Amino acid sequence: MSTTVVAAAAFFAPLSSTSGWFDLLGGLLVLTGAVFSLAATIGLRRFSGPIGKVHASAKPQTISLILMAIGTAIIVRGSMDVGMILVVAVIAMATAPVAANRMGSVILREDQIDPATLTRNDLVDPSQDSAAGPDGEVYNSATGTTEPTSPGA
Amino acid sequence: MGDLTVVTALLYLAGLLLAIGALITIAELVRGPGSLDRVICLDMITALMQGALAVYIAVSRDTTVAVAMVATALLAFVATTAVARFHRRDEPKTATQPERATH
Repeated sequence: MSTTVVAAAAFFAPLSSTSGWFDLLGGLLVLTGAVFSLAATIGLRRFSGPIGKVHASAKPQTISLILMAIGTAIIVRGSMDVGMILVVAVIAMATAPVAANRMGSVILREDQIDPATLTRNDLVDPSQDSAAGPDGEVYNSATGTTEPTSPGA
Repeated sequence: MGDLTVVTALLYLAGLLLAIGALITIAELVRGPGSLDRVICLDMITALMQGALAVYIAVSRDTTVAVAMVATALLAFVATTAVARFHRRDEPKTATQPERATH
């Protein structure tokens, strides 16, 4: 009985100091980030098609990296490398939208999205003037140029 | 690695969740029908590697691998962007294979 009490006291030892509560906060942030990571991989498994997988790998994964970097920075607070760990969060925020945008563009160009599921298609051919932009121009995926909408089409 | 406390228990649990996620991602990498699906899975694996490095830093309080986290983040971005730039459409297997066999 007494060994259980001693083990429990050692298990909850960090909670007896303010520094330990900061460690607990960092641990909770890292665990939340790991949960988001697992959710992202489950999304990778369940969503259909490459564009759904881009969704899964872009948003929850970025949240996960930010939470884990902040949690780790809180745990190793006082170290010189805290800035380097926070740079990881900044890089994740800066690069994830760009990478997801490029991948989505490639997926759309290679016709791996069912057009019926789109509410707005930025890469349609000029004959469908309903999707033309406010300046009456649409992007032609075949030539890679922007052309004016043909009138009366 | 030290005594088991509330904090290290949370971190070990986080590492376990990341390992499960990595297994799911590798299974998806093998399954994914197209090359783009596989590229996205590889991107996810590099992100999971960064998370695992963060957990390692938090458990061991050893920040020397923080630079490795930054390097992995930059490499993952360059890899995904380069694939998106130079990717070519997958060839349909059923249409081309019998044609080549006759030559």
